[in-house]
Amino acid sequence: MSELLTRRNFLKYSALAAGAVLAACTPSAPTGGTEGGGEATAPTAASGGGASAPAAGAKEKILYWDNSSPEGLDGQVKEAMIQNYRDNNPDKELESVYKPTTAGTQMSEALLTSIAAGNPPDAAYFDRFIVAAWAAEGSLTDLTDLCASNGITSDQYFPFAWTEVTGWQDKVWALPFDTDTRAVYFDKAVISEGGFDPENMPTTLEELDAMAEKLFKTEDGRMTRAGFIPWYGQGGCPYLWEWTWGHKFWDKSDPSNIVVNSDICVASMEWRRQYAEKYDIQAYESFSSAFGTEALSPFYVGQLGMWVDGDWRIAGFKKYAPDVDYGIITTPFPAGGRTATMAGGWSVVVPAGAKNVAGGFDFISTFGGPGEFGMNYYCRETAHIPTLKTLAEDPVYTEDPKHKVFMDLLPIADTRPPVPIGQFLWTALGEARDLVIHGTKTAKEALDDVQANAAKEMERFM
Amino acid sequence: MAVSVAPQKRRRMSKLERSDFTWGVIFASPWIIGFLALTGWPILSSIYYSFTQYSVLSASRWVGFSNYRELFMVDDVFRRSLGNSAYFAVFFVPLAIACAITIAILLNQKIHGQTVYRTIYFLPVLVPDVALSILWLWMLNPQVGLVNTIIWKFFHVQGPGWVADPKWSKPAVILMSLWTIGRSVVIYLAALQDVPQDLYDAGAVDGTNWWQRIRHVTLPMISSVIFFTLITSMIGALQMFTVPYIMSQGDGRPAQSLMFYAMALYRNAFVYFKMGYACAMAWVLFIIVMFFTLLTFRSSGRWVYYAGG
Repeated sequence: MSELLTRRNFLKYSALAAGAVLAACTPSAPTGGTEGGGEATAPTAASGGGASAPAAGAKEKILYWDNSSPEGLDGQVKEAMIQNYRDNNPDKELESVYKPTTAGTQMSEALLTSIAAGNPPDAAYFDRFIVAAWAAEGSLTDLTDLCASNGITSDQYFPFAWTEVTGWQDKVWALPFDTDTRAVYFDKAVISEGGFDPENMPTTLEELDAMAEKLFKTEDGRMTRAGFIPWYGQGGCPYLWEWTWGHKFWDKSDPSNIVVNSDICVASMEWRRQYAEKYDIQAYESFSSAFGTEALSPFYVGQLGMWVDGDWRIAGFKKYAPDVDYGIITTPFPAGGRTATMAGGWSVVVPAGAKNVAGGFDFISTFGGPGEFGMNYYCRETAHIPTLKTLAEDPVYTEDPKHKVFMDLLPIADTRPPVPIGQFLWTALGEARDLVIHGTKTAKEALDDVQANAAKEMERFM
Repeated sequence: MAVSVAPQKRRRMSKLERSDFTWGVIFASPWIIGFLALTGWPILSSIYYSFTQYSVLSASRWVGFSNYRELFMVDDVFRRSLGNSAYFAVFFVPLAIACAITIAILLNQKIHGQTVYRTIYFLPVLVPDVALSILWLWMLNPQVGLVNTIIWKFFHVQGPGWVADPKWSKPAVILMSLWTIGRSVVIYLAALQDVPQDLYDAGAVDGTNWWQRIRHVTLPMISSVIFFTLITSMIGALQMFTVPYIMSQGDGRPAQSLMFYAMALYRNAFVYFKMGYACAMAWVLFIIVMFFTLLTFRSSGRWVYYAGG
């Protein structure tokens, strides 16, 4: 054997290589160094604190995480906004990173672990409905003072949006971004075929039920058309139907007191169960479980008379079924109730432990602010609705009478209760409905169980 | 190596042996350090966390056995998910073994295009779980799916609701999981090649039929491989996650019939932030898996034959 590589030499080289790897792994000191002690730059200087110190050439770094795929429309629009911020702030170095959220949830494990490890980004795009939960865990930076010093106040936003970001301990934990609302869509051809006048749609739940009954159709033992499925699509949002019954889940004055099993909650759940019983639940579920692209949805092909959906479906119709003649009404409600809608949407936050809080806030208040390349730019380009009242006055949102229905709902819109157990309630109530319509539990049993579990979940936050 | 030399009693290591040992440890150290830091430590800390209330985001708080108590006394999702995973394991594991052996025996026949058939049966293994789940969701769609359409065409009866029906959703998952048994088919095929031809010849001379040859020659000779696949597929079945997660879009619908144990665990950890509780669930699962594995090992003396010894 040749002596090309003796053991001694091999070891020597491996040691060198190992040393190099170790050196590469150690956190490079200069990250904070250029700024002169990273965290020391306290967020006292309000926005645009660029002038405050950094030596020539050293840019203030801001790291932002977003969940929109750079290939999609949302991602591209956001990229334009981010680029605009860079152009207007040459003293800052804004880095935007795509971190997808987990399917089936609205959260990002990456963000969770980065906060837990004390190394989060300076700003992040964040589902508004879990703001309270993360705030209660101490994972978001309190923005109350920064908002005050930058003139951001509650009256600039629609009440539901502000409530949602301030639900926990009455502090500001996020800046609201876009929103969406829900209403009842109907297929005019299906309605007429059933012998009704599509210009004269129901306003009460009884009328809706009666109309739906005439619209169901079966062939060869399978349901070929459904009149109405209460939990189909956005109708599946927990809270929505209870609101139409006039229920209030939560009140800011007593935030730990959440009620999900009142008599009207049970009544509203019973109403859904009756649908499951009256019509074939299996056929229903096939509709609901029909999985695939949006283009194949039953409402584009006249298989659904009425259903609850969001404002974004208008764009869907333009794209996939431009010939279908449809209309939109606000949700019918039972006697003693009210019309209701759920407003969802996203927000922008500064995670707890962010190194550059001032920079992160400066970015999110621009990104989500009233400026040209702020919230309105995103909402116009991607057909979302702004949460800043002045921006919502932009005629572009009400030009289309169909979209106006959704805009008119904004002042009365509700959000999911902004409580620390919001995610739990959402999942548990959805599951309760699923158990009830399949007859596994009665409405009362299912809701009592959720109530008991919710109380237990809430304990650790009190 | 040194181990097999054994007989001398606790002889002190020679200088050379000591040096070999030291170098051995040094060379194995990347793995040892990696194992201790990345596997050993997380395992140990999860025991600790299972006795705490821990949201990942804020510090943990010691709560003693309350996580375990809640699991067994209160949590009906836990009970249901355990039941679902057990149901799946009980039906899937024996079915998978029976089907895999049958297919392997068929593929072992000396016929034309043998390799083509073998490839065909192995192909589904290469399909990613997520794609597989979505594909089967389409095929099993009760209204427009291929499976029910065929049932209607040939028998003129309405097929079951499959994943839309709580009674049929688990059978549906079992059915589609059987599609991917190619991996164990390959293992059985290898085992079948090892069955000595002279045993079959002797059997033929004694006038046995094919079933007797399978029952008394093939099965005993491949029993050690059956034992191996039994244990690995049992563990795999109890940890089932991806397919039901995708098929039920994460929430175990309909009526929690697809809420498998690992999904409930994941949800507690990453959706509800109950990491301590999820750790407790993980340990309960570990003990269950351990128990059944030991049970299988214990029983193996009676039915597993090792040709080597």
